[in-house]
Order: sequence, then structure tokens, then C-alpha cells
Amino acid sequence: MSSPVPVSDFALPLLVPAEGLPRDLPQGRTPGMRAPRQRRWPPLRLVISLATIAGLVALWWAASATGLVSKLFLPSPAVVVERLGRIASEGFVDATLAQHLGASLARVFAALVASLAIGIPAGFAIGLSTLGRGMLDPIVEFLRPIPPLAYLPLVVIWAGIGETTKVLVIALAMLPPIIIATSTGVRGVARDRLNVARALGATRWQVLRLVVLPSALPSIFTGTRIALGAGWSTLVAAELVAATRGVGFMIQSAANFLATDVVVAGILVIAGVAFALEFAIRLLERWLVGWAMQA
Amino acid sequence: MKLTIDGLAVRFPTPDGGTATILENISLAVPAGELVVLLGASGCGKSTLLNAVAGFNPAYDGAIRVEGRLVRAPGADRGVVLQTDALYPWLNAWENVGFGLRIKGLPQRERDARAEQALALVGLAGKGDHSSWQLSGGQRQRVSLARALVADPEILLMDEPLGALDALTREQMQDLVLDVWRRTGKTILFVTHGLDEALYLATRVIVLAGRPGRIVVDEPSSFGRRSLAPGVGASIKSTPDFAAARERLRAALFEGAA
Repeated sequence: MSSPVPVSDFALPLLVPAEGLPRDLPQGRTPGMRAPRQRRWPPLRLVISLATIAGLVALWWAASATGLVSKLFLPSPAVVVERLGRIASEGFVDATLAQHLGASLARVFAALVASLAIGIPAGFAIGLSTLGRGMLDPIVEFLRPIPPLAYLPLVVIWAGIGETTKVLVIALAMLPPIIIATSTGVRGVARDRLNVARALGATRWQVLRLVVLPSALPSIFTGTRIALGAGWSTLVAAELVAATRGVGFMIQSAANFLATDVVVAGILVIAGVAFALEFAIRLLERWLVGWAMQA
Repeated sequence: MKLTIDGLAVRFPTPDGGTATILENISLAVPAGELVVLLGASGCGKSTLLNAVAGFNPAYDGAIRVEGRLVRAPGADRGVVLQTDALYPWLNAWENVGFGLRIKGLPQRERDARAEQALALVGLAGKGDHSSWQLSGGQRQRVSLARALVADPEILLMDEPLGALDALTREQMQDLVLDVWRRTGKTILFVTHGLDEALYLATRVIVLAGRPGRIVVDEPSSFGRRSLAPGVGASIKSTPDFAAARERLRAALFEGAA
């Protein structure tokens, strides 16, 4: 398995007397020493990741092609891809994939905007004042561990079965990570940073806007990324109730018809969109708070 | 008088419900243009004194006045340079230096022009577009000094500003502080625990010692002015005068602490 070069490289100095060594030993790597870092493309890590994904798809394909797993439980990759194309062009339960996806994205974004609008001020209140912390901390800690499916019925009773309920359920799941990340960021601002601004004559409002907010921004970004993950996880639950569109709704209706290919296609769509969003947020993060990655 | 302190005492509540007296019976008058160095071992309350003057700790007994105005809160009349440079990493050097002017609402063009002037004063002309992570520790502390200077304060408060720098950079920065002091004529209150640094910079040395901290030495010093003469500089540190003064101060520090 292993090539002979490294073996001789390590073994020679031990086995052969020094004067017996050839002048130019292979200039291989010695233990503990690495070759200078080269920026190679594609990076090794990416290659490994892609190979792993390809391997898993191959296993999937093999399992369904050999009939090891029934098509009802796991349709082949080809069937899923073909089905995905049909959903995109013809649609599934009266709506195309774009319409399903649009409905879901609109809900997640509405919930994101709402939870940022509430979560950031709430995080500031917790981070800055004893009153805010005393009041809001128990609420957040109460809300945080409850699974969305548990409070979904209550939200339905309160807000009906309309769009508000769906957005509300997603927003409730997104709120705690944003609040906690914001308050952590606000509390973590170095005292010297605040004092310097105050010594330059900054008002309390100026300190908040010009020092505390930018200092907390990297943390708020982290919270937003976690919140988006929580939001997508809650999407399917939110679309349980009286939805006529949405990727989560599409998956559930397909399950009722035992259309496993649609279920798998829907899962892949959610994963793909979540990945794209994460990527977009990272770009935004690098642009807005790139300074935080330099230290 | 730029700064007067009358019967200052600072007390903090302790976790067990009592009070700890950090500073007691501190009185001091600083005329314009002096470079006063506060020297003391760690824990003697010298930073507490500086924080009180800066207005960071308004809970003190006695009176602190800058140009006759009682100090109760931080203000732009007192420029502050701290041990950590406390630069804002999301701003470049110009923006950091111009921060105090932005707070006053000056337009960007004027802010940048004055920031560039201040950067030139601390030897960083042309580095305005650098972010703080692109600057060395000494350079960051220079930006921090420029940021305090650009607001044109009555008095400059420096709390161990060179404490986190390596020995060589520290010596260069001592010369920079003297140079800036000579060129701006600012009144400076400089806190340090370095004997050499104190003697080299000061026109007046104040030694704080004991618990609670009190002033045990308050005397004029001539090395600060003498080192500015052509060809003198850091070489003054190897004169017999300097060594003798250092030993006297060292004795005062330990005597006061005992």
C-alpha cells in the first residue's frame, strides 16, 4: 500500500552508518516538517467532500438499482432528478416548484425580518440593562427549548390558520438565537472601547450606534445564521396547517400519496436553498464585518 | 491651573458588603504644559486616579477640576490614551483618529484633513487608509495618541500607554511622547510603573504608594526637558544623576508600600 520512498526516508538514517549515506538523499518531507503551503485548486478538503457526496449518491443508486431497497422506500437518484424536473415544469398539487419555493422563501424571509426587528432591540435591552435582562431573559429561556410543533396548535388557536400563523411559528423559532447572540455581543464590548468614545464626548446614543452596534455585529451575524437554520427546520411544521403552497407542504402532500420521489426531491430542494442562503450570508458577513476575521 | 485635585478619596464596595478605600487624601495642582508622571506599583490606585480624572468613575469624594470645571463625567476636554489601544477595527486609521470629530458633527473632508495632520504628528503620515490589524502594536498606540490629540483636549491622560509594547518600541514611543509634548505644549498626566520611563518623561514625578494609595513623593524632575536638548535623548538614562534619582524613587516606592 505505502510507497517505498517514505520508508527509506525514515529508516535509512537508523540503519546505515552516516558515512555510508549517499550525498543526495531524496528531498522528501521529514517528520514534523511540512512542505510550504501552496494555494492549490481545487483544495483537498473540497475534493474529499465532493468525493464523499459522489460516493453516497453511488451507494444510493446501487441500493435502488439492485433492488436491495424497494422503490417505495427509496427511489433511484435518476427517478428523483427526473421527478424534480417534472415538478419544476409541470408542478405538483396545483403549483410549480418555483411557486412552492417562493411561498416558503417568502415565509422564511418575513420571519427573518420580523425576528431581526424584534430580536436585535431585545438583545440590546438584555445586554445593556438589568431591567431588560431581568424581564426578557426568562422569556427567551422559556421559549428556546420548546419545539415548534408543541406551540403550533396554540398559535393556530390564537392567530388562525392564515399566513400570519406560519410566519409567526417560524419567527418564534428564529427569535431566541438572534436575541441571545445580540445580547452576548453587546455584553462583550470591551470597556476600553466604550470609555474611549465617552472620553471623546460621545452621547449614550452615539456610543450605542457607533461603538456597541458595530462591535456586536459579528455576533449578530452568527446568531442570524443559526436562526436561519432553525427557520428552515420549522418550515415543514409551519406548513402543516392549511397551506396550499410551500416546499414543506409539497413534501407532506407527497407523503400522503406515498410519492417518495417527491419527498426526496423536496428534501434536496430545502437542503440546496439553505446551503445557498448560508453562502450568501457568509459573503455579506465578509463584506460587512470582514474586519472581525482579520484579528 | 489645568487640573486641580482636592482631598480626593475613592472607595469601592467589596463583595462582602464593606468598602475598600483605594485612594485617600489626594491633592494636587497641575499648571499648563507640565508632563506629570504618576508612578506606582500595581494596585496602588494610579489607574483609579486617572479614571477619576477622566470621569469614568464619578463616585468619588473631594473635587477634581479641569480648567476650574468640576469633573463628573467623561468629556472631550480630557483626552485619553489607554494601555489597550482600543482602536475600532471596523474603521481605518483616519476614521479612528477622526472619531471625536465625527461625534462633534464635523464634515468628513475636515475630519480627514485634521486626522492626517494628527497622524503626521505621531509619525504615521500616509498610513491613514490602514486598518488597525495592518498596524504594529506601536503604530496602533500612535493612532490612539493621534485620536486623543485631534480633539484638542485641555489635558492628555495616558494610562500605561506603553505597557503592552516590547522594550525597543517602548523606548521609541517614549521619545515620541516627548516630541508630541514639546510640539503641542499639551498638559499630560502619564501613568506608569516604570522607574526609567517616569524619570525620562516627567517634568514632575508623583509617587503613589500604600493601601489606600497616597502621594508619597511629589517633586519636579528635569530629565524630561534635558533629554530634549540636541544630542541628548535616551543617553541621559546612563548619567549618574539619573541613576541616583532612580534609586531614590525606588526606595520611595518600596518604603511607601511597606
